[in-house]
Amino acid sequence: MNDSKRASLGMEIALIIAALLFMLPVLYLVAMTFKEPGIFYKPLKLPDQLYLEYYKQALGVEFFRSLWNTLLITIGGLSLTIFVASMAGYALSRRKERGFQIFFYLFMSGMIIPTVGSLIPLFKLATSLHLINTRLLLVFLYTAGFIPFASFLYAAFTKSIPRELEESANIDGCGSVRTFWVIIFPLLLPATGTFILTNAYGIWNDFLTPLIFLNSSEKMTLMPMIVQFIFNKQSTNFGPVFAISVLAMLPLLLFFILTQKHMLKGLVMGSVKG
Amino acid sequence: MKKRAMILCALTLLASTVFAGCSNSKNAGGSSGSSETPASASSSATDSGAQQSEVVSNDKKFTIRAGAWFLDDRAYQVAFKKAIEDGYKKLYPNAKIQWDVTLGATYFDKLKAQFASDTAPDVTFYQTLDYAKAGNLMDLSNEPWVSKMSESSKKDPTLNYEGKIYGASGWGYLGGGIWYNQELFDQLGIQPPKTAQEFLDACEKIKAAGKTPIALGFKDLWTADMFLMCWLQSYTFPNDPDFGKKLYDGTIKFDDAVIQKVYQNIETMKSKGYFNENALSIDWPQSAQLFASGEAAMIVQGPWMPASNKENIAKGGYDSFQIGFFPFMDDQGHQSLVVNSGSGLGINAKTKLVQESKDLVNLILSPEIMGPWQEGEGSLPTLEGVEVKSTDPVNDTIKQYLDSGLTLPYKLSAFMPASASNAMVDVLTKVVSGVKFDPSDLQAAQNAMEKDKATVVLPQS
Amino acid sequence: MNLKRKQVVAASLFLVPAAAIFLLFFYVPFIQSIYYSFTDWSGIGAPTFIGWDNYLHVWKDPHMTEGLKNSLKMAIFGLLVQNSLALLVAISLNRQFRTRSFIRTAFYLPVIISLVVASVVWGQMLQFDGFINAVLNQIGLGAITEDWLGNVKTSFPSIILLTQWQAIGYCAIIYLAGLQAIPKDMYEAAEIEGARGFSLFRYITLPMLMPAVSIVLFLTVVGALKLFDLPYILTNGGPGTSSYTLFLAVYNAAFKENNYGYATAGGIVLAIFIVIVSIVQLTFTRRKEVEL
Repeated sequence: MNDSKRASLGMEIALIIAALLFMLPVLYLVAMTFKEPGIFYKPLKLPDQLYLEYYKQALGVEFFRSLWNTLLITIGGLSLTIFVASMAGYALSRRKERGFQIFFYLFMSGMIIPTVGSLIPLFKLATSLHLINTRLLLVFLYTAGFIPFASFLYAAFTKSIPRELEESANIDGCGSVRTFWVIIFPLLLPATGTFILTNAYGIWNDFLTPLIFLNSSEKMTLMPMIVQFIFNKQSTNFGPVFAISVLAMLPLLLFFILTQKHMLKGLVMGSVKG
Repeated sequence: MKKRAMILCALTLLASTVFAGCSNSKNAGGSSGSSETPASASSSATDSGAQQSEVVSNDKKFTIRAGAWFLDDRAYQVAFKKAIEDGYKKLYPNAKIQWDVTLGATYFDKLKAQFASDTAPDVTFYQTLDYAKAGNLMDLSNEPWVSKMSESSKKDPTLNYEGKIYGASGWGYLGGGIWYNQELFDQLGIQPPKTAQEFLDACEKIKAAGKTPIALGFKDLWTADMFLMCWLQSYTFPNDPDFGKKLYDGTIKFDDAVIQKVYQNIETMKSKGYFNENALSIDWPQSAQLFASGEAAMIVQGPWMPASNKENIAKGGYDSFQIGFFPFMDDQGHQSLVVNSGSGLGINAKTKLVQESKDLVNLILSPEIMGPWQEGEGSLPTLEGVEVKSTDPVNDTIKQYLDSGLTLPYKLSAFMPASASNAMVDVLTKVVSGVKFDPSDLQAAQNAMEKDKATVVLPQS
Repeated sequence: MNLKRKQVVAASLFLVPAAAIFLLFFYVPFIQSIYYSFTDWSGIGAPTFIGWDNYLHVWKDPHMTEGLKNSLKMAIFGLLVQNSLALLVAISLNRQFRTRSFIRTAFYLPVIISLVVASVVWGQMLQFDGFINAVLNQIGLGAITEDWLGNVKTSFPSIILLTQWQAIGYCAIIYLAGLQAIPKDMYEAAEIEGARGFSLFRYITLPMLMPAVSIVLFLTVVGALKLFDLPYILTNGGPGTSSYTLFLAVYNAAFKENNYGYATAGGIVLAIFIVIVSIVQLTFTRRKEVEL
């Protein structure tokens, strides 16, 4: 708009330097994957050829299997959360009765309480439900973890949808379930987008939950697989470890690049409504 | 608006495929939790056609779960796994072994949660007898292989709880000592030291020659534990056989002069620069590489060291050298080594596959399978009839030390809870990071001992 | 009346699936863990009731006390440094310039990188013969090279700095979103009245940004108190107890030392701390929001 909102050249240069510093570890990671064994442990040497051996070692069956599992669990966790939390957020936003308030605070406490002490009770619970060592269990666990945040997000967005919309739909003879899914949910799409864009990473990158609750390597996700990979390389052969780290990061990176414009927009909307 | 509708459509589609995906995964899940319900396992274990199992027990179709934390990609581990699978196929043609392998210490975190929730593997390697105490392991005292166990392993604190045998010994495990580069020692004219002072002198000579005297890889805390406990072993038990019990019942405190002495030795070594600079931030394979490369003259490690070192030298293309061994020692030259099983191979008390599990254990213990594997692990033989080939001359040295010194089946840490030994290791890493040793830091170990005393399973003496 | 009841019933049905999943997989295990915190239980076998003993021991255990101190240090650092840096970055990014989208991407990129990968990279870079020391040697600062994660004085500060790599970008984006939501005409009106530079920031930007500030501060504090993965993978709390966090102390007590009951007590102490700190912080920023 006006001149005062333009950054000075000095400031821009300072920012560029800071940004490059932030990128440095990522660039370092990628550079390491192309360094041949001879110069691998010489930290200041750049790769002088396109050495692809590490990628060949990293791209095994294991990798693709874990990628598939991670994809399945990420999409499953996000979808289930969206399904239940959109309804819950809508209800919490529309009803002010005491019972709903209680749930509001219950959900809120979920954002604060750490879950580390609950691991063994959870393990027992999962066993009695015959969910241990299933990907479905992880979907449930992530959903339970996301419900507080996602419900608040949906509640905030619901506030801006006029009640008249539902009322007129009710007059037209729509049941509340249909009203919600046909009329309200599409209007909540920005909330859905914001939720996906800010939380997909959380599931994809999680290390401890799959490690503890999954047993068979057929079901393992990417992050624990990387750690096992490190053990298997006896940690003295770090090239393939770096390569597999890059490969595990790549899908997220693509997702990020494709969606980053929307992400900021979603966050703006989130903060206006919230 | 149109765009929105499209995104919505895509999302719904995505959601529905995922739910379908999840229900698949649920079915698949049923098959691997199968140790509990062999019947259901047999119907869903494999997708590949073959229908309901026959009645003959040996043709029974089931999945048995076996757990371990060490089955990585090293050649002898892969061969071990393969041999077990092939052998089991002969006993039960339609059985499938599902390996529950989580490499590293997280395995034990998980095993505990699994036992607590009745989802532990049918057959598992384990390291502590807490499981037997809690009733998680099956009493195996009447198994045929028990009679082949040596007298000492029948009393082993990882296998024997209140007179009953709960596991077969995985390794004949030399609890660790100092491995050295013989070539380098010869060049510098160093003899294997007999007393603590000689040991420090040797370090000084190596340091003066521009090499790192000892390679540490304390990012793996178990190596720090091994270093500390092995040295304490030689300072305590040779002079007072009841040191452990006295520590347990409180007549000896954790800041006892003898314990302090070991920490002071380590402090001296640190201040004189006898350790690698990155001692605390590299793990054991990296420290082993330092040793293999000839950069470091000594390393404190377990019995797999001769084999691992050969492999490391070959992999790294370093100059090959003969590896030597000597145990830790005290000021007067007393020394004590630990030899125990280090791990047990047990059966889940709640398994539905009792006979099948016993057969699996029996199979693993057979000479053809156990022998080559123990050789790879650098293990001493544990069962009568199982031969462990060892060609490395260092084994003769080890044998001499075992015969001449005090050899015990337990470490000092067997007399304290894990929380206390961890607190002791904390003090060690602090000293190795360069902080002055403060005896009052050991109070944390004393507090932990007093709090968790009840969890200690005292070794039989 | 009838309509209202119908609506309440409908809304309740909407709440049921989320409430059921949340209660079952989050609250039930948590409530059980409260019971275990009063018992001596190794996680296997039967728990024995021992009253408040576990809670008393928490204050004698250097893992827990050091962990608590570190967690609080981290929270304070987050509030003061991370928060201001993020705001600074956001304000800069809110201006117009050519490379803006590149810089925005660069700052946010670390956020999407998993802690496993981050610790692989940083673990290598921070090693004694790693990248950072090599650079220091190159530019003549060889005197300050250090085994960054192997020194009681530098291990936890290094971990705090590592968290900044991810946290600044994350918080900056939230601030940026808040800044972009401020209507432009407010600035114009203030400028007509003669407000310039810092007073513009003080009287328009900051008050309007208060909701974003609350969110960021809340996330910072909770994130600091829950910090676990980085020390778990990089240092396991060492050397000594220098880089323990409370969360790591709880995890290790449960799984490395077989004191499950004691660990849950530590977990509950942690929960209480988080609740207190977030209430204090939220009331503080809320009051600010009203004041300004």
